[in-house]
Amino acid sequence: MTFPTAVLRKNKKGLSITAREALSGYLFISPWLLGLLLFAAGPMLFSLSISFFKWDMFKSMTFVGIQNYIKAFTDDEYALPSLLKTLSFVLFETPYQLVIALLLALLLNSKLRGTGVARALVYLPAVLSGAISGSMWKFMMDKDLGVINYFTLTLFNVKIPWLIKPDMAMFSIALTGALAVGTSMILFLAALQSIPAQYYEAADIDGASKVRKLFKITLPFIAPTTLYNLIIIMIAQFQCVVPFMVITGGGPVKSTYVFAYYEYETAFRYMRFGQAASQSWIILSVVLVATMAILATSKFWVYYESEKD
Amino acid sequence: MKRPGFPVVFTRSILYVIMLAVCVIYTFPIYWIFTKAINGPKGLWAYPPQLIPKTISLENFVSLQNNYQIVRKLWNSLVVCIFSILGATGTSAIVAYGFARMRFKGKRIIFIILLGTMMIPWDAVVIPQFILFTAIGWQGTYYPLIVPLWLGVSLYIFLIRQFIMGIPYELDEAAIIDGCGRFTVFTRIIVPLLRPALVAVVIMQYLNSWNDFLNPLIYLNKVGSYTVSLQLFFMKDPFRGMDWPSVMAGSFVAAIFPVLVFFFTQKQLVGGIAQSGIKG
Repeated sequence: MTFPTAVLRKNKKGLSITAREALSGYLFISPWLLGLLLFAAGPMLFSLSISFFKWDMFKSMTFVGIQNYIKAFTDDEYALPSLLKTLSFVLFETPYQLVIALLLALLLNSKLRGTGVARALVYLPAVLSGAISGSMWKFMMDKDLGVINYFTLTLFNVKIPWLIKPDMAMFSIALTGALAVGTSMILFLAALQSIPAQYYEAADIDGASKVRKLFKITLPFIAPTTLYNLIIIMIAQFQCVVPFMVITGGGPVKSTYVFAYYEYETAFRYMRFGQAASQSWIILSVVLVATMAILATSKFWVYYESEKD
Repeated sequence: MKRPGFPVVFTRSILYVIMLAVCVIYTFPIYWIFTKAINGPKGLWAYPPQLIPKTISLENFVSLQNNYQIVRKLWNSLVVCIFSILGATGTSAIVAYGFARMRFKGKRIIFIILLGTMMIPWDAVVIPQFILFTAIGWQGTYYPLIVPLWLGVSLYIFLIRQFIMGIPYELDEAAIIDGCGRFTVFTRIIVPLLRPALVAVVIMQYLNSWNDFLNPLIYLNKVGSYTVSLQLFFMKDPFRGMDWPSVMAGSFVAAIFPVLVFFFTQKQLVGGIAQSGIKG
């Protein structure tokens, strides 16, 4: 956009108008550029380089090449088991949260009374700190005195060893994720509300059933949001560590010791920075590959409106 | 008008029952925190659990303050929040103006990079950042929690930029013709119009800082400087593992502020989140 008076004004420094605008443009965004350098790009490059070193407790560094990476897969008590735990957690948790968020959005988008209040209440758990909700679950999932087992005992006459049994704990923590879907639900709701009503009216005239409308109109329309939510939820689950720290502390017998937890302890408990950096790059590559895979499949199920004509 | 037939009434009632169940499930944890906090140490472990608290006592709060100086921890959290919000909001708005209104080479590419940085997992940068902040002696201070935010937050920049794009450019133009510099246009014309977007960003950053647990865990090493979220993690009891009366009372005071803020600013917050999914 150009405006006539600006062209007439001569500037003092002898720079052209466009050059001056560009200069002030860079000035406006310079804080973020600096941040990108100092707190994102710089650190990532630095972390990649130290992943080729053995560097413990801020003592002298020794170059070890790709030893850190090789060791993770060949000579490491926790790396591989915890990576598998993370993968199985992500494989369960991502579709689990995505489907719950979508179902909630569909329910709360219907023309019922009180959906406004219900939306707020469903989002509510998402405003709590992981430290709060974590200890909350730990308290409620207590085998003998917890309120959840009180309900299961009264209703079904069973007591479930939620967090005590090693092969149960992981699943219990995964279940708690149902209450953390507030943000994805809001995004789904926004997408649902953006669907033009004519489509449904036309379908009604043709006598389409509810199920048919869901699969032929609703889901295709919100597919871009589904894709976005899918990727965001998945990345978050790969990094998920707070519930494991607070609810089980990685136990019982390391059964909930996920990769992000192992990485956290390698870095901040044992201060093996080289090894920890290599771990963060292992997980980053896995996240990248998974994201690329999802994006590659999206061609078959996500259509953007602009592509249609 | 035709009265709805039986099948419609039937499915409606089922939907209402499901909605009610959903509401109960999603509010129960918070209800449980609040009632166990005011239940006193005895009511807390009563079995069968007191679904409606029978014993009411403030004992949990007294031991919370005596054992963990919670008022001090609330103050610490507040300080971190205020400085984080100021930096994150102010800088993000300035940067957003640059992206929304200025023309410069490489803007498209830089903006795509900005969108990309929103996807960077936290653990990809936390280790090198820790090394950097330790090297310059910021370990044990609040700087690592605050300073990075003063260089802008990608998500907020994106949100505010989208908002500025909706403001007519003629407003900027008129002010420039009157002889205003770009920065004056930004502070005098744009900022006052940005209120809804800025409110959303302020709330988001408040919730992020107030609830942050991992960064305080990594950087704060003196009990006196703990934030509320972090202190909750360190309430141990030699016998039970967790000092539950204090954890419940502590969760109550830590949760009450975000919950209130959420109820009063729902519209702006939800609007902001809804915007964040629309990537242009």
